[in-house]
Amino acid sequence: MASGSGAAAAAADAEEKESGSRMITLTSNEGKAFVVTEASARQSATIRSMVDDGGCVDKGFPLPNVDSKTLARVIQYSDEHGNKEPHTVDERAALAKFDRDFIAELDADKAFLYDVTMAANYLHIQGLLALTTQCVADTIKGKTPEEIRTAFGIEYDLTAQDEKEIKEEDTHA
Amino acid sequence: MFQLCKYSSRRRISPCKRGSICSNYPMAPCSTIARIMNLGDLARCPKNLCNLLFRVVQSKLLAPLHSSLLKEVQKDDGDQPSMAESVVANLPELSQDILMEIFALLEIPDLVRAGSVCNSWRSAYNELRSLGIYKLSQTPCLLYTSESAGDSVVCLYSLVEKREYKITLPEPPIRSRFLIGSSLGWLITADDLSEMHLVNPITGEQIALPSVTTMEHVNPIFNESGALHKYEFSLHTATRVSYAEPSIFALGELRDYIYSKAFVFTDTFTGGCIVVLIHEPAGQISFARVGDDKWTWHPSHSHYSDCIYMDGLLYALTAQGEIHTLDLSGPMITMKTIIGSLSYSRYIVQAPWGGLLLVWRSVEDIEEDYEADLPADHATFVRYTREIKIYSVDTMGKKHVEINNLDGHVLFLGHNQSLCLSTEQYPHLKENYTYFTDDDEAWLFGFKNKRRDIGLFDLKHNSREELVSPQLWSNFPAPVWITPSFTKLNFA
Repeated sequence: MASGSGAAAAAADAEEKESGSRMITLTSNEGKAFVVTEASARQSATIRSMVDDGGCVDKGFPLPNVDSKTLARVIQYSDEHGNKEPHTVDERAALAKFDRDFIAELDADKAFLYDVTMAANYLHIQGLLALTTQCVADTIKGKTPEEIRTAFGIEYDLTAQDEKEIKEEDTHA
Repeated sequence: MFQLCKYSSRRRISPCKRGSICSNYPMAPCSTIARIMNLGDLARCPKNLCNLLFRVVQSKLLAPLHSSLLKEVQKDDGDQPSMAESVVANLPELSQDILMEIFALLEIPDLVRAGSVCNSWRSAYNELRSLGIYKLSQTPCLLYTSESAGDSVVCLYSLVEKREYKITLPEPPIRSRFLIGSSLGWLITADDLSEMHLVNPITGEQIALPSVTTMEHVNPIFNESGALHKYEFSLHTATRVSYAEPSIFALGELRDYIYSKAFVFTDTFTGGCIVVLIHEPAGQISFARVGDDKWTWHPSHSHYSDCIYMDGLLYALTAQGEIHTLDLSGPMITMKTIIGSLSYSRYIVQAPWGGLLLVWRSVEDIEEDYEADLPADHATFVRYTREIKIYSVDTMGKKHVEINNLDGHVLFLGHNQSLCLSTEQYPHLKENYTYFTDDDEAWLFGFKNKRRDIGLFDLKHNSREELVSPQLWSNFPAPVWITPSFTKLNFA
């Protein structure tokens, strides 16, 4: 019994190794194909569950909600996090630096930051989503509503009802 | 071109090619919602404070934090460039679930401001508030009043932004009340009839607690016309018969003597709330649970100085350093002594890494000349915190060890529920420091105009620092730490 389950585990292990080296094709909504390692693709909980459910690995995965520019950037993140597992302190520091640089670049282009945030949410890449939502939150911090609108290019569209509500709350003379 | 509208179809998944993620896996929604539900679960306990059946004060429920925040907005409106001049192109909207994830990372003042940015942000803010899934680890603020701000206004000093916010609270005026406790974002106050209220300064909600006359030691005295006139205050404990005549106090005077420290906890089993009161004579405990219209006296022991509530049990610390657990859930209170008297302690704190901390704080009253010409209430002594000792308690092994520093952590001590927080989770706090306020009730209520001992204590170097200078607060009511919260109380 013990040896049987050991053999099963070994087989699963071998399969895991094999699957780790498989390549997976992701296609953007513009029809551009990106070939990535399975380890990289597995950063996405969505793709991971499809692969594990025996989904259409060979056919690849069309991503109708992600454009090429965004997908390329998302893959840059998942390659870094999926293909290398940091073992040493230095490797972890290098990965942390990658994250810092990655988000600093996105922070400079809020529209692109939004794109990547929504793709991370759509593909369920938890680490990337945490990184991008924190970046948006940091931009909000300490700003007045008007400054926030300016930072994100948001139009003032509060209804009269909202304004009334806010005014009513504004009881402090 | 932005095509982001597609992403926001988290509930309506548009038709797409066979084999694509869209048609096969309506994915993102499931786990996002699951995550929100989990956060909701976390928030459920405080929310269920709601079941408390105490009398609701029929005052207008304000959400006054907005006030001062929005004021700034109005002020700033004139200075800001108009949208036409805005440099950033209009961005597409983030979906509500992503906005909520972002908002859940914000401290409450930022969250309130984000809630008045635009329509979609406002609805995400409203949903977050109603679900109670905002950031649960809010950094504590110092709550105080000042003469210039007005009698009904409290100020919150944010340790994150190092600035103050003003909030108008419901009647009676907060400056006419004593602040006798602060937990879960709620203040416990005693008004000039010595009656107690719970107030949430962030939402403006207020609940009247059972009358002080329902306490074991207090009886009302009525005048000829049947109106409440004075209180009779008995000095007995379960083991000590008081031979002295009960004291007679004017309505506003009783609070000078009776209240030590008050707490609100959420009952682990019912989700309802429990208010625990340490009071005179002799530091005894009384409590009131959901639906109670009177206080229940716990007669078994006295000389309590602090409490916390964990896993359905009240952990009560005596001045001699004994820890008792009280099970308040049944009709009979069961008490166990889990740690005998080991050293004098004033505070009991739940350590974030598990277990308990006991804290001793010693103060020194120093004569200061410059106060000598002040009026009679100002004796010439000023109080300073001199030493803080921390013991880590192993309740299983019934032993405790003095620890010299709190690497990666801070303490909040005073009239608040004692807290130990991790600086990793609260990066704006200073590691290995104690944030303290005055809380010796004899000192506070006996010398109302005294300068308050409030500041930061460096545990490593055993030295004291000012929180902010010059002093922002009035000396009375004495300032307390509070952790801002939208926690609601509904009343059945």
